[in-house]
Amino acid sequence: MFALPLHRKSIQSLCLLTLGFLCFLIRPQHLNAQTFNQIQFVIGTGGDDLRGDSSATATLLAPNGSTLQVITLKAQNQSGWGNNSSHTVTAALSPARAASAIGHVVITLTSHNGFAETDDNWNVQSVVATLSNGGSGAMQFINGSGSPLARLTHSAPTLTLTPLPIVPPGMFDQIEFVIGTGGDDLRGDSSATATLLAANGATLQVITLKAQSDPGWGNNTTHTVTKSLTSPLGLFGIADIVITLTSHNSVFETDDNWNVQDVVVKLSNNGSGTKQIMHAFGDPMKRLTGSDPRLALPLPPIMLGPVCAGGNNGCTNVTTYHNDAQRTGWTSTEKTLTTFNVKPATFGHIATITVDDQVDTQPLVVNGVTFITTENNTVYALNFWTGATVIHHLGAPVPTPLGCGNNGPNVGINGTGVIDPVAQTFFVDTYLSENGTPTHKIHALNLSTLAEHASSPVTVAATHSVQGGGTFTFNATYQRQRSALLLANGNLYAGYGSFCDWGGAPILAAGSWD
Amino acid sequence: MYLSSVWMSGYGVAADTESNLYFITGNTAAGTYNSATNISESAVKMSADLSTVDSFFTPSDVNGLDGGDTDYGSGGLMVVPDLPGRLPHLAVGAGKDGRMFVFDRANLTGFHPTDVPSHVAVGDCWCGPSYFTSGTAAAMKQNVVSSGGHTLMLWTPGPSTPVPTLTQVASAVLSFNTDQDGGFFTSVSSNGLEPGSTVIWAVGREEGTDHHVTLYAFSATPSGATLPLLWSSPHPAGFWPNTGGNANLVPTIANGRVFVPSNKEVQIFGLTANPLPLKQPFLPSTNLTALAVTGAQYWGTVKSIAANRVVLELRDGRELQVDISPAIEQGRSTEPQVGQSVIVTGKLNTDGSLQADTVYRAKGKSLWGEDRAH
Repeated sequence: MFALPLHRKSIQSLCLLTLGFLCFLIRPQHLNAQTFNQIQFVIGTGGDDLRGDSSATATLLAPNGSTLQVITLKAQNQSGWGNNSSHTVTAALSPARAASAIGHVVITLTSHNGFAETDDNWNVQSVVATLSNGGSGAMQFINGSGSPLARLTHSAPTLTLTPLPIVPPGMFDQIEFVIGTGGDDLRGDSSATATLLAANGATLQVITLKAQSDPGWGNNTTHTVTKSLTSPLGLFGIADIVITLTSHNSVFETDDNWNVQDVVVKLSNNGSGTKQIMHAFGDPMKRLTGSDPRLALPLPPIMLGPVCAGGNNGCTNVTTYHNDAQRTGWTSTEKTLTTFNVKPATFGHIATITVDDQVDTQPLVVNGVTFITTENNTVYALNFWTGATVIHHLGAPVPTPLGCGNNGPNVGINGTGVIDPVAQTFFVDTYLSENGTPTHKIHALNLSTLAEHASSPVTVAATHSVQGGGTFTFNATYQRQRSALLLANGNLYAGYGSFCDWGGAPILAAGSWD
Repeated sequence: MYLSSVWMSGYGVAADTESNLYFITGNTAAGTYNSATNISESAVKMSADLSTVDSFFTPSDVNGLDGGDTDYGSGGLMVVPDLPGRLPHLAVGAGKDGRMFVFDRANLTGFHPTDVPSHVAVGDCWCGPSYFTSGTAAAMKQNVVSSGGHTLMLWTPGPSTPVPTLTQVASAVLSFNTDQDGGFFTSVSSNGLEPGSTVIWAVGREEGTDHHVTLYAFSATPSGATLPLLWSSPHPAGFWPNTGGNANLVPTIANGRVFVPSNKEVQIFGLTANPLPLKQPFLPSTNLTALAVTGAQYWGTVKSIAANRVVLELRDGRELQVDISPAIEQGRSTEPQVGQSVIVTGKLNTDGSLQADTVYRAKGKSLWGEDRAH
């Protein structure tokens, strides 16, 4: 029962029925009953201080206006809050309260004037209040800022703050993009958007990353864009994100080209409980142009219900081509699929993951994360447990090597890579066009981040005297890495052939990895 | 220098538990096979440090295989898992001509005028075998799955004196209809030895005008001499438009799901009790650019051969005279056979004949590419 694929819409209720660490989604009607026993204020003071002999309080009011609790932010005997300082105050909520029980929060300044003193004036720049249970399960409750947000004086000593809309835990109302631009900028007169798509292809929201009126994004810069979601989404609410470049050319201008290096996407709940759902990168990840202005980034489809009974320890891992070094192709720990339920009534298509090129390799699976590699030298890690997607584009592939038609239009990662689950490393051979020169490289990628290890990649090169005379020198222009990689005896083995029998090929290359 | 290669239609180099490596090599230039210095078309057992060929087997017709581009190395060599007390230790592998040889891993037997190892016919194999154990803990049985041509076959080790043999248990014919090369790939899933849990999965080659592929599930428990079909994908399990390369697609089974790779997508199959919304075909994120290729190129059927002059019948019925000497000199030619589909590239002479730089076997007529004169 654990591995039943669940319908997207049924997650919230099923999460209660199933169990465990995956269960971060809770029924909304239960949320109203969720209570918090702690509130934390982070208050920024601007260009006018809160004097040492003044005091400040925060009053929690019920929706009907009645006072629930008065919290001391600064007592009269505490030191003053200087200009341009930030102070954090944590207080118990007594009794514990639901977020919806608090209608407003009022911050009040009280002057306690000494002889010849006049009333204090205090510039409040920012107020962030967070509800939690002893510090865990934090939910941002109030978030206000301005310059100043309010100037509290004798005649206007209070600031009334309204809580943020209550978003249930497990749902997200904010999306953040962190986008790295590479060696070709996003021009000042161009605009860029991110389109969020649902699993059925419907557009959920179009987010402006850079408006035409915003300054350009220069070479090798990083920009962060945070936007509200028009309606809160669950962790798996987004199926695809498409980043689109639009050129707005003046008379003599040609279309803009923009190198996108990195895309990190995070969802948060009122700015808290941040979940990173994607990290895609490459050099560049993609060059957007007038004729090819879109970068499509897939997110994994829902595969909820614990992926494997017993958690990760109960997972079936397929770390190498045909399951093992003997190449049996046998998954001998399959608990769900049998000859009794693999039939039209109960078995069928449940999802499609779209990737950027032909897949000549076998998908690999570790702890419920699926690893896919393409002929465009792109590696995908899709985590059905957390919704996270990591994509690493390892470089430009070689188009139609030697005119040989035995391949797709590109040759990149042609042989299935291999995963070392102990070293948490994914090894792949890429076929790269480096300034027009074909090159084979062996990459060692971190299994969680797909980042290269310190000494990775290694360019494949070999020279060997041949029995019977002569010397063979590995020439990547001719060599094709089609057979799946092998991890055995502490070595990584890669077999090479040639494209359309052009020239010979070394039999095997081997190397150990420290 | 022209050596041999390791490609095996994507199958992996294998290893046993004693740190030896196993693989099959492809073709070399016709007539240059040498059992000491150029072991083309051979099953090879090699030391972990790649310093030593411990043992090998080359079919006695190696020169014919090299000349005809009939690689033994189109298929993978599988190490058959050992069962306690069971000898000999086995390995199996088939190639383009469909002979699946079975080896005693202690000695692959070398190269002899008459082949020493036994073989069975499994169908043309751009493919590789699978394996599972069946029976009870007290009486376990080895099962080898072959996937040549369109036929799935189940084998069990037979008598091993004087050489190991395989005995056919059951088979099934897959429905896909393709002009790609013979064979396909399989995987197996089971919950250990639990009765009724063993399923053999297969992905066929591309077929139809939409070039789709199909996922098949067979019961590993024979009904008579047949492996019963449990299920096959009613809709395409993926697409393979780049037909010049075979769809050597291997399904992965893990945690109740079956992953099927193909062109620009991976489809996922599982129990449909709570179906997921079907994701729509999506924008490709890369513009694929094919290299501009120049030079004459023709697809045709070999009509006659006289020395190095070959007459091709083109798709429109015209005849093309081809001089294949340059291709042979460069080791870039198969030895054409009458009736065979080939692709030739080179330069057109003023008399309309072709001076061929390459001559290779081609896939079936429906998958021929565009002819061009320049």
